[in-house]
Amino acid sequence: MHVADFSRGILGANGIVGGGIGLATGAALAAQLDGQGKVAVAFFGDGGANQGVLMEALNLGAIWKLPLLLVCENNGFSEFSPTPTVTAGQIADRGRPFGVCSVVVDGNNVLEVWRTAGEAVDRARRGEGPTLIEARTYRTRGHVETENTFLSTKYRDENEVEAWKARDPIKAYAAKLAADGVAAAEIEALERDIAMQVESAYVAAAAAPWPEIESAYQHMFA
Amino acid sequence: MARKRTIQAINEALSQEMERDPRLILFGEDVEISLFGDTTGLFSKFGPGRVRNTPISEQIMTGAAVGAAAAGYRVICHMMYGNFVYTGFDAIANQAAKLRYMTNGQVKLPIVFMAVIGGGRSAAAQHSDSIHPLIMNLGGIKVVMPGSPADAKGLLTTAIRDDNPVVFLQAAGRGGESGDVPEGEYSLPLGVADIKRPGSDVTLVTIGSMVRPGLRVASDLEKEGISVEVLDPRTLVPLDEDAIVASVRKTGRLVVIDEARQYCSAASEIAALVSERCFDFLKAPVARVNVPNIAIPYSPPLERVVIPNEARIADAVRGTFRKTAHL
Repeated sequence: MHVADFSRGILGANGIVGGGIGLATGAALAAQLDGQGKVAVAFFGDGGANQGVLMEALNLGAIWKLPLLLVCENNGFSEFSPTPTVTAGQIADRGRPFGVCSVVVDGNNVLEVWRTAGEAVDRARRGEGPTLIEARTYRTRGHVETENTFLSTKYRDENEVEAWKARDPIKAYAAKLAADGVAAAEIEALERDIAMQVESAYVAAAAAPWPEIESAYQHMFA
Repeated sequence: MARKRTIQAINEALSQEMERDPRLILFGEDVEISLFGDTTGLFSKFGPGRVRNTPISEQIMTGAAVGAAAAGYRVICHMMYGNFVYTGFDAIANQAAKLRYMTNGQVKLPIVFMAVIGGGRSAAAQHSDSIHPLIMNLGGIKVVMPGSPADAKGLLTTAIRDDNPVVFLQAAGRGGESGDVPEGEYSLPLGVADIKRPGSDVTLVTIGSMVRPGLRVASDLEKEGISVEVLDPRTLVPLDEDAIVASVRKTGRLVVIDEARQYCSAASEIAALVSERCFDFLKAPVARVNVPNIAIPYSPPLERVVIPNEARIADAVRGTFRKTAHL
């Protein structure tokens, strides 16, 4: 949840839903002042789209023409609430009154997402301001990994989950690569390599010692 | 040295620091025209890249301040009134105060959130809160509350150069007060209290807007034979605990005046500190003079009663010399 690497420009996955929207807007201001073609991207969900800060970011981003991508992964659930029960209208429509270019894409189509993001980055670099991208997808995992151990009632149908798992964007893209003539061995090697990276990160984390007690008192201030 | 108003001292610090550091930027509501006078002239001097009006959108102001700081800028985020910190609180409390800690010290967040706080001008309850206790309790944010024009300039300069988030709070209606202010670059360390007036019978800790009335009370009580030491912590995070303790161990009495509401105020924290570290030295119970636990009223006569005034402060000081104070 709280992964961050500032040396790579990753300002952190935020524990506050929609918390990254404000941070990315500030990073976009910094990018604009730097004038080196950097852009800032905020990823949030349909739940985060219901935070008021999105309206403020759209407005400020538009009037300052910030190089900002606001990417909403609409995965159908806001924590444990199905999106239609807590979200009115279409999320992409929220950018239009501000004159912010707003697009809906199939979030499970890798190439479509890639093309749309590329166009938004170009637009940002041309000084034409933010883009709101609503990527339609589905949350095949729980809001909390262990949710089945404490939820007393189901909030969705298992068949629906299985149907969306069949539309897994990684599998779909692998199939597209294969159809385009990429050798099966090459795709398998890539998948193996990534699986090994994840596995070795897990092994390293599990083997790592607990932090020193003193570290609880460090890093509040520079 | 020249006599200057607090607002001029603040303006001078902002202007000098923006000249010194091209990566220092400033934004907030109406900063280009400047409601209080503290940002006057900065827009014409430093231009629309570095000095920007924002919409009345405190969530994005504070969030963008954190984001721009994380991306390498030094940021002054002008919140106008302290009460507006409430509407922009998430990025202050959840982001600015915690991102460095949560990322194992990866990031520096050099941000000054500026605001005018406190009552006294019939600005009513939603423009008159003294918000420093709220910020003190966050843990990751420094709190600066100058009580004189010179301190305002010196502390703001240091706050801007600090690599941590700082909340800089100027007392409402005190911007026009004047005092001697050093010319040119002038900085004061954070966490160092100042004895505004030495004394031997009772320590009067004065915070922000309370420094001036505290000094006047000290002067009046001298005529009654009470020697009051006036101590201004100047910053509440970090708090110069040793200076307070040393003063109380010398005088044996403590009165704290603080324009915050009494519950969990800075005065409460200082009272607790002294009970822990000066118990054997105390000749009387510690007294706090605060705003009671009510909203600041709009009506001038009501406001005058609610905000600690000289009569209430003097009574509290005199009270530490009465035997009944022990009851």
